[in-house]
Amino acid sequence: MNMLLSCFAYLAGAVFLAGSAFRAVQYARTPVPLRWELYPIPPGAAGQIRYTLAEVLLLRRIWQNNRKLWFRTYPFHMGIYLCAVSVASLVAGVEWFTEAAALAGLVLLLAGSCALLAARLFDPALKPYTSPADLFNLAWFAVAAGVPLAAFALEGAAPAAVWLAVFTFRPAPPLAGVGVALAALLAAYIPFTHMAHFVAKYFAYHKIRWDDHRDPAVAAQLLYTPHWSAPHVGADGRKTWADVAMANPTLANPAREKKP
Amino acid sequence: MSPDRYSALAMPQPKSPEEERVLLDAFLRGLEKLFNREDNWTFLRPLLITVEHCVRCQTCSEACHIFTGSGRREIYRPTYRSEILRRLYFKFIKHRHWQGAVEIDWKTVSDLAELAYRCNLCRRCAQACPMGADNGLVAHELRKLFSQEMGVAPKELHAAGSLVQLRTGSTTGMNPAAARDNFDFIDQEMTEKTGISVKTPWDVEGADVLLIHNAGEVLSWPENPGAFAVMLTAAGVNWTLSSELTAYDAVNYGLWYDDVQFARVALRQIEAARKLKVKRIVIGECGHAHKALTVVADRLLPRSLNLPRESSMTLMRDLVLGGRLPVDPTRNHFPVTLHDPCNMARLMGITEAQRDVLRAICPDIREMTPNRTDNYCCGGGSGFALMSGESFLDWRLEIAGARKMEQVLAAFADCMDPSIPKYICAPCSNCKGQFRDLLSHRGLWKSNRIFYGGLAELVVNAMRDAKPGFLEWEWR
Repeated sequence: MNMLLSCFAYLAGAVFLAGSAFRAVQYARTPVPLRWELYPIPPGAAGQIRYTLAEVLLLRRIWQNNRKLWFRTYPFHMGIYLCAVSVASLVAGVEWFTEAAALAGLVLLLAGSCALLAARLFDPALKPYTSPADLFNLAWFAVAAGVPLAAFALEGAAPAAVWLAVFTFRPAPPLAGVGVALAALLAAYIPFTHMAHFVAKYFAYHKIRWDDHRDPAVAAQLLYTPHWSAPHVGADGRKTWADVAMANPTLANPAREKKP
Repeated sequence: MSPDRYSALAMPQPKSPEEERVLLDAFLRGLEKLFNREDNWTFLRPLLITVEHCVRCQTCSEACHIFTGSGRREIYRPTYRSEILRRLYFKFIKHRHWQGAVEIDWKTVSDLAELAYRCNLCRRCAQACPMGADNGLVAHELRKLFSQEMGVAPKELHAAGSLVQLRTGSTTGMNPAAARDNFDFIDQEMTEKTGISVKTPWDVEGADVLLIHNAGEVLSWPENPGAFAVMLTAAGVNWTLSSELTAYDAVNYGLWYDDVQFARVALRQIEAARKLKVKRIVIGECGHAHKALTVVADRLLPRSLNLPRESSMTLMRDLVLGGRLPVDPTRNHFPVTLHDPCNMARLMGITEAQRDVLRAICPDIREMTPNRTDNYCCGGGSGFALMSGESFLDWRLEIAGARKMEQVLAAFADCMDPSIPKYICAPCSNCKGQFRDLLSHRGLWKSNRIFYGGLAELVVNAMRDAKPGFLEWEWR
C-alpha cells in the first residue's frame, strides 16, 4: 500500500509539471495578438522582476484594490508557498525549518480556504458569480490541508516527516496517507483548471500587457481565412485575412453602407 | 429591450420563435468564431486568458468608474457581462457544465449586446486585476462578435461611421475637396486672429511630418487644427496634410467594435503616408487615433508600411521646450486642469509630454486625483461621445461621466467663482465632446465658467509671436 501511495505521489507531481507545461504550450501556440499594452509598464528586466515578486509574494494588486479579500486570500496563497517551500527544503535537509514551514503552511491554507469558501457562500458580491467548480476546489483545498493537520493531532504524524516517508517509499500512518493522497490528487488536478493562473499570468504580462514588439509570426496569421458572416466583412471562405483587410467594399458597392 | 432603461443599439425583438432561433444560431456561430484562431487571431490570446482565468474576485469592481458612478448597479460590474460570456464559453465551446448555469435566449443575447456598450474600454479594471484578466477586452470582443457576425453595431460607429469614412474619406462625410475648403477657411481665420500668415500645405511629397487630425475637430472645434497650423508654421516645421481617402481623418472607429474595419482604415492611412514619402506621421489631439495607428495597427504593418508614428504631445513638447515657439505663460493666467485621455495614458503611457508643455505655458495647473495612468475615463470613451441612441446620452452624462465630473469639481474647488475662468485641457476629440456635453448638462459653463479645449489652443494662446487673445472663451 505504501509503495502504491508513493508511486501515486510521484505520478501526481509529474502530472502537475506536465499539465502546467501543457497549459503553457497551449497559450504559447495561440496566435500572436495585436498589441494591447497596459501602462504603467515596469522599466527594464529588474523592474519587471520587482513587480512580479511583489505580485507573487505580497499579492500587491489585491492589497491595493480589495483589502477585504486580501486578508482571506493572502493566508491561502502563503499556505501554498510554505507547503511548497517545505517540500523543497526536504531535499536540502533543513529539518527544523521543513516541519515548521509545513505546519504553518497547512494552518494558513486551511484558514485561507475556509475564509474564501465562506466568502464565496455568503458575500453578496461573490455569491452570484460562484460556480459549483469554485466551491468544489476550495473545499478540496480545505480538506487537503485539514486532513494532515488532523493526522498530526490524532496520529502524531508530523506532515513533513510524512511527505519524506512517502517520497522514500516508507509507510505513513493511515490518516496521514489519506492526506497525502488528497494533496497529490489536487496537485494533479490544478493545471487543468483556472487555478493554473500561475501559467496564464506569464502570458498576460509578458506576452500581452508588457509586449510592444513587432512579431514576424503575424505575417503567417494574415493568411488565415476568416469566416465572419456580416456582409461588410466580405469573407467568402477563400479570402485571407489580408485580402479582407485590403478590400474596401464600400467603394465597390456603396449601397451596403445603408445596411444596419 | 434593454437591461437598463437605455439603449445603444435598439435591437429589434424577434417576432416569432423562428426569428429568435435564427438570431440565436447566428450568435452561437459568432461565439465559436470568437474562440477560433483563424477568425479571431487578433485577440484570441488575451480573450482566452481572461475567460479561463478570471476568478470573479471582484477586485476590479471599485476601479470601474461606471460601476461606482452608477451607485454600484450589478449589471455595470466589470465581471457581469464577462461572467455571462465565460459561462457561454464553457457550456457551448468547452462543453463543461459545472462552470455555472446559463441559458441562451433572446434576452441573454440582447442584454450582452447592450452591455458591451456600457463599458468605455478604458481598461482600468484590467489594471486592477491580479490575474491579468481584461474585462474591458471582453466588452470589445462582444462588440466584435455582434458586428462581424451579426452586422449589429451602433449606427454612429458603423453605418454612419467607419463605412462612411471608407467611402468618402472621413466619418464626417467630408470628401477631400470639402476638407480643403474647410482648411482654407480655418487658415484665413487663424491668420486674422494670430497675425501669423498661415497656409495649410496639402500633399507635400517628402515632408518631415504628415499631420493627421480627427476631422471632427474641423467641424466642431476648428481652432484646434488651426492652432496646429499656427504652431507648425511659426516653428518652421516642414509639414503637410494628405487628401487621400481616410488620411485626412485620423479616427478609426473599428478600434472599438470591428477588427476588419479597424484594419481597413489603418492600412489606408499608412499607405497614404508611404505614397507621400513623408518622414513620419504625427497624430493630432485624438486619443483613440493615437492608439489605433501607433500601437494596435503596429503588428499588422508589413515592413514597407512601418513608418514612424508620433504623438502630437511629444511634437508640441519638442517645439515649446526646444525654444522654437517662444511663449509667455502669463497669457494663460487662469486655472487649468489636465485630463489624461485613457488611450494616451493608460494604454500608451504618454503622460509626461503634455505636462511638460503645460508647465511651460500655464502658471496655475491643478492635477486631478487620480491622474496619469490611473486616471478616470471621461465617460465618452470607445465612441460613446458620438452616440445618443435611446436615452443613451442621459446614461453617459449621468453615469459614465459622473466620476470625471467629481474630479473636475475637486480640482477647481477653490476657484468656482464665475469671475474666474477655468480650463479643462483635454487633448482628445472624443473627450472634448464628452466634456462639452457634461459641462452643458450641468450648467457649469454658465454658472461657474468652466471651459474645455485642447492643448494646442493653450500653446498658441501663450505664443509671444501671436496676437494675444487666441482663446475666445465662447461656448461651443
